[in-house]
Amino acid sequence: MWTGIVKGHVTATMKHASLKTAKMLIVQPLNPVTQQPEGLAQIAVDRMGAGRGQKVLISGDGAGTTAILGADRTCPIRLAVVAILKDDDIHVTEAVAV
Amino acid sequence: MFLARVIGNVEARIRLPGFEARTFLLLQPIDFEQKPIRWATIALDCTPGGGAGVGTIVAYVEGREAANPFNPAIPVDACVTAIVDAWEYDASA
Repeated sequence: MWTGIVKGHVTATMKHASLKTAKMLIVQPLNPVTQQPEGLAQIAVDRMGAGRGQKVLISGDGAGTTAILGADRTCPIRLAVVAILKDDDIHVTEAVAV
Repeated sequence: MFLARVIGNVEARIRLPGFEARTFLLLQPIDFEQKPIRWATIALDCTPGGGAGVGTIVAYVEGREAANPFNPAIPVDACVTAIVDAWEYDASA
C-alpha cells in the first residue's frame, strides 16, 4: 500500500461495468515519511468520497478492489482508496535515509 | 490505471486461439497534462462495444488484473478499461 494526494478525477461513459459503482480519482503518490511527491500520478477507484487535496491510502490488491467495487471476477481494476488520511495520521518513529 | 492516447494498432495476423476477434491497440501512455510518460505499449480493449479508436484518450490497466475480463483466460497483461470523456487535474492540489 502507498500514500498519495488526490489531484482530480476522471470521467468516462464507456467503461468496464465494474467501474460504474465508484469514482476514478487521480492520485499522486507521496513518500509517506517525507510527504514529497514520488513517481507518476495514477487513477484509483474510490468509494469513500475522498476529495481533491486530501491524502489517501491506496492498495494495489486487485482481488480486494474487486470486492470493494462489488464487481465480479472480470473486474480489471487494481488500485483503490482504502483510507482517507488526516494530517496527523502518519506517525514516523524512525526515518531511515535510502 | 494510467491515461493513454490510442496511436494505432497491431495487426498480428497470426495469433493464439482466444485472441482472434480482439484488437491489439497501440497506446502512448500520457500523464494528466498529456505529456508522454514512457514507451508505447500494446493492450486489448475491454470496454463495452470496444470503441477505443485511434485518437481517443483511454484509461488502461497493466498487470494480472488486465486479464480478468477475458474468459476463457488468455495471456493479457494490459487492457483498456475506459474511454475517457474528461478529467480534472489540479497540479497544485
